[in-house]
Amino acid sequence: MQWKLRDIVVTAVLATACGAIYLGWDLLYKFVPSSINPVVAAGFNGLWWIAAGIVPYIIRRPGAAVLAESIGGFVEFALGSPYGIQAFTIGIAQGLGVELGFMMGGYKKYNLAWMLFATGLGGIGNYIYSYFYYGVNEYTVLTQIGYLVVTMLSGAILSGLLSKWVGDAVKRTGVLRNFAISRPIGKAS
Amino acid sequence: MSVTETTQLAAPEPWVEVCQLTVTYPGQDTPALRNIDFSLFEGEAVLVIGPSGSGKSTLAMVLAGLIPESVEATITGQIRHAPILQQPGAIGYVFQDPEAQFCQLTVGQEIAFGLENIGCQPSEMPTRIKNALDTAGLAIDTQAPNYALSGGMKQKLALAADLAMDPKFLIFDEPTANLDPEATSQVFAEIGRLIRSGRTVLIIEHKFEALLDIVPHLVIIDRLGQIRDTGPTRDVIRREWDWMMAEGLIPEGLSTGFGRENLIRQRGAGAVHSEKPILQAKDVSYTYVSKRLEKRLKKQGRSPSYALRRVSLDICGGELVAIVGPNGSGKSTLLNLLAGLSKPTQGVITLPPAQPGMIVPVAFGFQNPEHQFIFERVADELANRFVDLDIPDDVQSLLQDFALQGQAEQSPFALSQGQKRRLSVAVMMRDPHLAYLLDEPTFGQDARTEQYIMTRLAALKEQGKAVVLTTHDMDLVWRYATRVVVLVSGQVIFDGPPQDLFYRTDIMSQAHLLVASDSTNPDDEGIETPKLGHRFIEVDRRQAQSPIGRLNPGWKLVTTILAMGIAMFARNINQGIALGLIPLVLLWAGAWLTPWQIIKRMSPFVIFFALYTWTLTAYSRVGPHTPTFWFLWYRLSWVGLDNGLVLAFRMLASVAFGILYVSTTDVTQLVVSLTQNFRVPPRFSYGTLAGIRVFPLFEEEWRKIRQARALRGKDIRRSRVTRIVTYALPLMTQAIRIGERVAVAMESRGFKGLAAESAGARTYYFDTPVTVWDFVYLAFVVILSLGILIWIR
Repeated sequence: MQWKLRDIVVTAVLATACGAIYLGWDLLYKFVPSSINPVVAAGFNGLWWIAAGIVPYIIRRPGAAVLAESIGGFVEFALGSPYGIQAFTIGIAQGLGVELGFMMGGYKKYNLAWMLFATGLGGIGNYIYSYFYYGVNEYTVLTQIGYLVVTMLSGAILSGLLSKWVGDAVKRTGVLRNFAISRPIGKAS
Repeated sequence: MSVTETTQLAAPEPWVEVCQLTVTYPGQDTPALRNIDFSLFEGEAVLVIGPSGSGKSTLAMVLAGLIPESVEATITGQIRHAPILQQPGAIGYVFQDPEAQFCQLTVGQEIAFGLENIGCQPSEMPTRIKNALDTAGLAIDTQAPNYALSGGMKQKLALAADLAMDPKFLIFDEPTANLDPEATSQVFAEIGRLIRSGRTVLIIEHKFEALLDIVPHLVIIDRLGQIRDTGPTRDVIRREWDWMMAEGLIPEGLSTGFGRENLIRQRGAGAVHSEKPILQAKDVSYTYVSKRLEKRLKKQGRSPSYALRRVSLDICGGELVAIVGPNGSGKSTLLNLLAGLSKPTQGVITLPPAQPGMIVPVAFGFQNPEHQFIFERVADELANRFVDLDIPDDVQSLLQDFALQGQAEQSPFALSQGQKRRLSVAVMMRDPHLAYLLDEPTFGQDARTEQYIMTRLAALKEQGKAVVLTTHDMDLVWRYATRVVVLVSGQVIFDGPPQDLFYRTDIMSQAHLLVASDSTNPDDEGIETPKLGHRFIEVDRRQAQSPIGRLNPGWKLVTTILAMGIAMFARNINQGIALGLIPLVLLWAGAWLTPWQIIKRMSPFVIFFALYTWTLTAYSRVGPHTPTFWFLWYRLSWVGLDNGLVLAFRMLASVAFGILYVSTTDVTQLVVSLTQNFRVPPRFSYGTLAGIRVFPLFEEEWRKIRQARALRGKDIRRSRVTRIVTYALPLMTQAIRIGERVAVAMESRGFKGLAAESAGARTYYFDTPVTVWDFVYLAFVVILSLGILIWIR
């Protein structure tokens, strides 16, 4: 399961694009839901680690989730995210959460259920980080539980489901012929 | 240009030899190359031609050693490289796509990348870079950002990057596919010089005609991937002329001597067309500069640069108008304006009114056909809606007409280049329109597909429609156009029948339309610089020279993250304010930003700080005896407000430290530092940099796809979510393709083995030294932050 140079470059290309999407999401997020209710707002969280879903789904290498999400977060930060350098550090936390999920599958399971599971775990990374940095620890216990559950669900849908959907569509175009996603299951090299 | 005799007999052993070679790509049933026997000796120069998809590039990549190492394929037969070619950098490879072979941000770094891979001493690098630029005929500053170069300059840069490594064997894989005729002839002239100097060279070209005098040996590959003929160029051409005509390798109407007068003479007299114009441009000017900037420039008495200046055109039915001119002369801009895709800055464009039974009166074809595809099946694409298994008759006949039978179930993105182009033209022609505008419709197509498309466009013209296209291909103009518009720097310098232009060599040379004139004037103009890109690619000189700008980028990142981590422990407003002040003061005193610049950069974030405060004011956990207030359905508390303010100030510190970092750090230096100082394998750091570099291209792609979607009419009933996915598809396929090509290009420049694995196995163009000041800065920030937490209550 060695990383090829092509895997790395494509990881960076996709993660960079995700970083730009994150920046747009930052702005949208702050003006739409956060002033309504933190639990509702948590429904938006999942998209912030879509790089950790789409890249491992295509590349299928150990560390893909963390690497992709770190790059995405760094690009978001460098483009002028309102979260400053935290866009980068929370990216690492979210990426680690998803990475844990794929690691538990031995980097061999990338079916729909596993995608939802792994990207849902990204929500735990997001929760732990936000607990310390974004004042989630100050919320009432009920709000915190709601925040965690909605965040994980959001991750499973906006990061996991969307990644699988987009990834499969791209696979059908034939450009992923040289990537792990196109190799028969069980033969991931 | 005269034929130079090569020294074939000087070397007894071939440099590269393949025997009975068959190459099959994964997932393909038929091999790309079959039973190839080929050898190349020192000092030889070979031209490889063949129909598109015949495996020319595959052969080149085998000879370069890229297949099967960098590009996977199943190989049978033997490949043998002489020892001299087995060292890294011994084989140089110039690729077709100028966008997809760079991995660095500036000209100097780009050339140095290869030198770093072969372990060249840093002290020698500047000389070798300068010599390579001279040899490649590129007079440009090494600090220039390479994404702002024109297509021709990019190909010369790619050549220079190879030449710097002193390659023994150079391969050109359709190096001029994206270039205008003059840039093409400049590249050909460079190739000619290299051949005359005795360099071993292999060239693949679609438009090979001008090379026949330059390259002494010719290899022809047929559609099946077999070598059809090989030998001295003139003999092979004489032997294979009929076959080449039949295969569409030679445009019809050319005599054996490639004379052009025939083409012009064969044409009928002036075109007949209706009097009433369909499209009209009156005194049209266009600038990419925004309205606000334009106003400001005018106030200062300067005028913004115009992509088009006072262009007036009437386009009537029954005309086939070709818009020609050098790269960056405003051809595509004019076409976009005529299609109503963008609005002129000054002047008026008159489009035809809506017609009964027509979705849109004007159809538009993008240069990259992928931009036009909305559906995931060819049949759906042609029907412009989801059709299931029963494909309607009109779609069936379109499939037939455009030689796409059997592809109905395919994804449009999975088609070959020629098929994609035919599909996009078929989509345009499915519905009736008054005018058909096409941006470089024959770009990257072989003569056969080109003829296919052009005869259809000519038929539309005969029906009284207006056809307007941009092109670099003068043969197409001579053969099909009824009228030529020549643009130079946004101005029309010629507008009339091609017969008149043919004899105006003065205009032709001004517009870079002459091939094979060994022109050396480097007046290539840079293309428009992408806007998003330089936000994190360029650092102001003043900031770069400031004390913080000179720190080691890697350690500075460590300090920044530590400072942010410590700020997390701020528990009251006083601590928050004090911690927020540190980066603000550093921005001024350490990074030399003016207070006004600091306010400007921080101001977008103020509203976010307010929102943090509000969220916590309304949602904080409060003790039982804390006073709270109800406002609408919110329960507000002073404790919450306090929490919110602390969080806001923590965020202020985080954002300000971030701005401090970004405005003083060059991304390339960060990458080099990660490898040099933190021992990140070069594969990961440089690979990531190469990926990030691709990013500015997205902006352009995004814009084009949006326009293409706007043109497809309103009858596409799809959910919004589905549309986002289809929108993402062309972007992602393009991104992945470019990423893959960049990776192959990097490996072709010696970025493999130890040079890619280990930080110590390569040399560095510039150093990112770690000095005592990096630790002074780290200690200062950490101790000050901790001190604030301990002493301020």
